[in-house]
Amino acid sequence: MSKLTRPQIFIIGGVTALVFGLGGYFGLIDPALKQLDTERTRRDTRRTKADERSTAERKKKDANKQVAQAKADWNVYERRYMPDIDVSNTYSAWQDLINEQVRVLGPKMQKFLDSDKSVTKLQGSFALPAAPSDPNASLNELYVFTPGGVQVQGTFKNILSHVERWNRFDRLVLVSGLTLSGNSPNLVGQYNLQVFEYTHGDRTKAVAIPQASGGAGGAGGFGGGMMGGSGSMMGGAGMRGGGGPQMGAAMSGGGAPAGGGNGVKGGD
Amino acid sequence: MSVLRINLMPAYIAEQRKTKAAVVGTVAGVVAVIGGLLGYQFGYLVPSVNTMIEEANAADSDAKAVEAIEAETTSTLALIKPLQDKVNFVKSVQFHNVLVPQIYRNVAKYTYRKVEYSSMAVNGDSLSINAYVQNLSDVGKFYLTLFANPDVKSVSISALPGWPNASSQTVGLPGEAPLDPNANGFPLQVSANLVLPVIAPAPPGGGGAAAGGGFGGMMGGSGSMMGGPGMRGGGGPMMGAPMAGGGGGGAAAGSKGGGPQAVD
Repeated sequence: MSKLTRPQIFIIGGVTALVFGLGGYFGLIDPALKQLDTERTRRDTRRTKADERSTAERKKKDANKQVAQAKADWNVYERRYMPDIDVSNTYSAWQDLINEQVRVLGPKMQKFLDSDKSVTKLQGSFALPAAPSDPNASLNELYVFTPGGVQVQGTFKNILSHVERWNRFDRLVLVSGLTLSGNSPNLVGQYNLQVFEYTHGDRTKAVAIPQASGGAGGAGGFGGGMMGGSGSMMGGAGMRGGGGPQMGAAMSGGGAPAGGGNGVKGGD
Repeated sequence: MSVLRINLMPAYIAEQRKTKAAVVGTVAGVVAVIGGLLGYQFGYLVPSVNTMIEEANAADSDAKAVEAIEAETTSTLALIKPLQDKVNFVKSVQFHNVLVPQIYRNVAKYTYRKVEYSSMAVNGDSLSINAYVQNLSDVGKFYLTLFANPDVKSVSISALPGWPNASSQTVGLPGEAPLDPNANGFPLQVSANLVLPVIAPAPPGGGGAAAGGGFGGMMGGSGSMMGGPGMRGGGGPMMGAPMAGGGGGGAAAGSKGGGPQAVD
């Protein structure tokens, strides 16, 4: 050290201080400053978002009001036009759908059509398909029926009023393809009808009803085998266990004597 | 008396002292720089960063609460659309059920009184009319009157007679027997484009559809309709007039004489 001159010592010290200073700045201070900036930006951004709380709560309240309003609007139409089919219960939904298709909608439409005495009905026999045989298939949100066309005769005014009258039917009916022909007062109007029925309830809550594989088709096949006189089929213990009307019918058809006594008892 | 101080020490000793002092001063300076840096880092920056992180985290949790509210709002609003779609569908069906009758009413309203219609149909934005006029001047009046209909944006007329004149032509609606050759009138086919197309509304979402019968061709039975009684006696401006071509010639006579024109 004694060989170092003072200027050399100052230079070495200065360089060392500079190296430590720069190293400290870029190694410690600058990253910390950057992190500070990042966090400050994050804080400001998130605080801006957090400051929107009152707005967000107001919007939520508005949304709840809108939902309530939309539900109220729909409830008006639902009560007026839609049958009570709750798809959150598979079995009751199926029953309600069958009831609607078989007992309610058709007669109701026919009665509504016939009750308009201002026109003469030339054609207007409605037909609706059978309800689905699988209860699990009765969980749709919407059912669309096309019961058929209508042909009526009357004056211009009466036929148009007759068409518009479908808006007063207690199911949602779409009148389409209205045409007029002929001459008043025996003008002929014809149109087609479509009925839209929305169900209600949460179908995700509906419990699926297990379906036997084959269903009615399986029963038919069984009967056929019995008729053929297959002894192996007839003699099984399953015959008694089945016991249903289908089995009984099949057995009485001739298979039973070949198969044995159990089969006869089961059929009876 | 002044004292004269004489340094008898060798010069290098003094130089060594100065050197030592320089070393100490330099080391002190370096240590001061390092200490300053560390003091700034750990005395100010690190606490500031930690405070800022805490504030940012607090703001973040508040913001997340707001975002949760917004997410709830969005999911709540999502419930509205299906309901509104269904409500709009019901309204569309109701509107559709009165739209076509209203179009027909306006057509009747904007029809020249001497023109008779035998059929009207709307398909999409197309209005088709089979009409019967007694002479060519009525065609012009009919055209201008119908064009004033606010539901209609364009009108076209076809099947105008050529030469020789109408009385020698086969008159009658398509598919019908010719009218009385002595008749003055002739049938027209009118088609118009509607301002508001008639499109049956479709339900939102899907649904089980059930089969059912509908009508086939709607225009097919015009012959039977044309010959009915009460040709002029009807109520509406459109349908009160006699119809053309009823069952083999009744219309022409009916248009002149009025009253029952039942011709098989």
